[in-house]
Amino acid sequence: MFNYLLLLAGFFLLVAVCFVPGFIELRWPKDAGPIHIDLDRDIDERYFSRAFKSYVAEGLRSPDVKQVPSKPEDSRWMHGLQAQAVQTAMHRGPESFVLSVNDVQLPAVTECRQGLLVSGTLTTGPSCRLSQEVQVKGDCTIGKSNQVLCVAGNNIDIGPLTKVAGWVDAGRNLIVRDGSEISSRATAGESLAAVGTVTFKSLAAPIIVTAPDQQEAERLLGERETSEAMPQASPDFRWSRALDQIIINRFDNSSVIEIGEEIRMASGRFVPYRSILARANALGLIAKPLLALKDEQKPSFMRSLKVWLQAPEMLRVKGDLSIPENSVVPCDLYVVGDVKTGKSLEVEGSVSAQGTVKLGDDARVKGSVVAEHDIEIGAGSRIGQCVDANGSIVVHSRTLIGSTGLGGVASRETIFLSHGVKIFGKAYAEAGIRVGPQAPGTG
Amino acid sequence: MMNVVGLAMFLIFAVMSVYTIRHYLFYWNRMFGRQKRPPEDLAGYYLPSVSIVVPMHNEEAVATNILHRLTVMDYPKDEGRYEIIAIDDGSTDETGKIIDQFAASHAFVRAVHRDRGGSGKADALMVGSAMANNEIILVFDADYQPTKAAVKRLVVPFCDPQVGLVMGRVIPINTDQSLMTRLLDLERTGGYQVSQQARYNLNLSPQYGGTVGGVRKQVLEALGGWDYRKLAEDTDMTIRGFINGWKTGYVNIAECYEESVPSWKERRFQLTRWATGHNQCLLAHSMPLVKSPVLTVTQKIDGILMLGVYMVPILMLVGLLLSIFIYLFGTYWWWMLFAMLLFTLAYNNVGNFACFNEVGVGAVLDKRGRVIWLLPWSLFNFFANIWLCTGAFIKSLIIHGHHSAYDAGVETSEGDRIKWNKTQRKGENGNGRANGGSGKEGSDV
Repeated sequence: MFNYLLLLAGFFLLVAVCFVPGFIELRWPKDAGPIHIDLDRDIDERYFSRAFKSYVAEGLRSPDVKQVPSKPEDSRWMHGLQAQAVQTAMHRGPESFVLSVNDVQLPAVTECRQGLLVSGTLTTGPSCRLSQEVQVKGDCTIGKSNQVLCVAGNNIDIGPLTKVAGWVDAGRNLIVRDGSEISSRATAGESLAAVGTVTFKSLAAPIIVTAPDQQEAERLLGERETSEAMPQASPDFRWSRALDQIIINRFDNSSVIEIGEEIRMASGRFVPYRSILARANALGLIAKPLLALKDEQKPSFMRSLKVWLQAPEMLRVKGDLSIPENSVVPCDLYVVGDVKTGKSLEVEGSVSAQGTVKLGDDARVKGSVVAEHDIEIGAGSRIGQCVDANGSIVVHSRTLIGSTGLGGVASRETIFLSHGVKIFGKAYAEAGIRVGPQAPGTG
Repeated sequence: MMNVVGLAMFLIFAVMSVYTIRHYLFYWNRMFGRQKRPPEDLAGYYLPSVSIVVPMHNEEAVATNILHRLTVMDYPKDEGRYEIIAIDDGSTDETGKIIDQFAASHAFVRAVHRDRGGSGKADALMVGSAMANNEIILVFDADYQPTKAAVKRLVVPFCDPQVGLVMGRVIPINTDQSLMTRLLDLERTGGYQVSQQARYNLNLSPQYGGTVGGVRKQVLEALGGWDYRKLAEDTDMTIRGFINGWKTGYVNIAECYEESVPSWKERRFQLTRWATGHNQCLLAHSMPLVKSPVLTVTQKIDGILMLGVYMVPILMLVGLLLSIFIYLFGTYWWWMLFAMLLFTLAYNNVGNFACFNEVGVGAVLDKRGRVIWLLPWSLFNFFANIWLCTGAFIKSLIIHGHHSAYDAGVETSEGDRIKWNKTQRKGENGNGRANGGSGKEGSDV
């Protein structure tokens, strides 16, 4: 009996052991607080530059700031300038900056190992090396084959073959020239132009253009064209009983495109297909959320595939979908497979695919293009919102993505942007963005 | 007799094993697997029109806080692109006045007063959603504290037309209030950081949790709106969307503080409501889920496992009773092995709805500290869950029968309404911060 009691006591002792650390944490808590989240932090693409500016401003205001003798290697270019070297003691540890109230011109092959804060403009000669952050109040022109850590300024011109290890942020316009490489974010308050063959990690600006030369970049930035190319319903359009009757009579045995054509002939005006589908729903013709379409209800290029109306304005297609040229997709489209289209496709909504999406030239997509794998967008296309892929993205020339600062291209792998592409918003790729004359593996 | 007991034990063991495999896949995915690119990358560059619905029933302690946080939200408020629909759902306190004050001072806040409110969140959501003018409807419970960028982050997944619902991450704020809040903090870490994100990565269905999330209005209408007869309208919407081919996006970085329930008593009410609602969905949607023409076999299996998660504690109880029976009357030693493995698998994988291993992985990903020492203490929750979920299962059977009878034309005194036990909020927490609140953490989250 005693042995059993001993065994039982041993068992409970062993069970109790696992509660001991928890008891210690409860009794003498060291980690009782919630996971920290900053409730007031908003999204700011230019955060790093702004954070650096406020960091420096705070450092210079601090009573610990002291003037230090400039380094011998700096005396060459600091000569004749109203410049001083100061040391701050901030959370990054003691660090020194060179402050200049004048315009600064760095001669070729200058090496600056301190942060550089310039109130005027900055121009660097070829093969300079700036191994700490550079903040310029005026314009900043970085010369050929420089190596820079990070740079902020008003208008920034990054010269050819320059490597920036961190971020670049221009208050207004940023131009990055042939052969340059920016390893972190490149952002601008107004416009960003990538000229020649350039590599980035992330780009953000109200307007981003890619071009073979500066002249072409300026021409693209000056263009006023937007991606809003799809026709809209007239605001004064009203559904009449006769038009309703057309939908009621034809919905069960015609595609929405055919119904749209009949409505156009009857009313003399174009009615977007989405509006027709919404009207069909309001008339009770779409009885359930996942309505399998009969062959005659499908657009002609989908007839061999299984198609559902997943919502009144959403088509779901099972299988690889090939869309011939000059076709119209009347609403949002989701494809469980790959999508490949001919030239001049028009989509009155977004396109999403479980596989890859390959849009032919001159496609017009009112919404977004999304894919689980790769996306390729043909030359001269217009995408109204975002392009988002879990694979890589290739955008061919003369393509326009997004509108009025909204829109973007994001990829889990790489993005290739041909020359002549215009993006309103942002481009981000985990494995980098490459700008060049021609997509790899094409032409 | 012993053969029947043995067969039952074997089935329970098999179910536990399936859950084990499922959860190990989740851990593996989060630790070593391919992660989906976070939608965060395009946050701020896709800004559809949004209606925020905030149902409130006697929420004077927290109403000001949530409305303030939503009015200062970093989202363009031009041309009706952003509207807040604050619903005073039959409150008897000052909630209605607070809402009116905000509506008077902000053009994009709309006050809705319901005299006959308090009959459930789905009921209030039906009203709010019908009034919503915008493309996306987001729901926040009154006692939540969203970050300033939460809405920008939550709407990004909707740029994919296939996404019908979205869910953000809930983080308890009153962690230092009691043992219960600390254990729930751990549970959320595992549930959101591992389970939700892994399901999103694996193209399964993350769960829309009823708050810090939302639905595309077009999808809501296509699915027939919120079901006021369900105690878990969020699970109901998730599953109906899933069955009909819609994806639920999960945005781990769209964070929001909540106030966890601080005591076992309140936890009992909350968990009973969730479990009952979840089981209602299990009874209503299991067959449609299996028959769905658009889901893959893997998605169907995961859907069933998600729906059945509140049944697991009941299976556990049955397994426990059978183990005792076998111990007393059994003759085959390997049944004892079943009993032992059953316990191990159950606790490791479904012990606390966010299982032991899941919490561990979540703690690693969240870089948590000593709080992980409390993990064994969740064993108490585990036993409580067995008791509560068993009760909730019985309740859900009664409600299901009641609704079936009502649908068949049998008159009942309550009609088809169900009683809603609201979680009470105090608007304060152990850290002295104005707080956020309840909401469904997601049964399988």
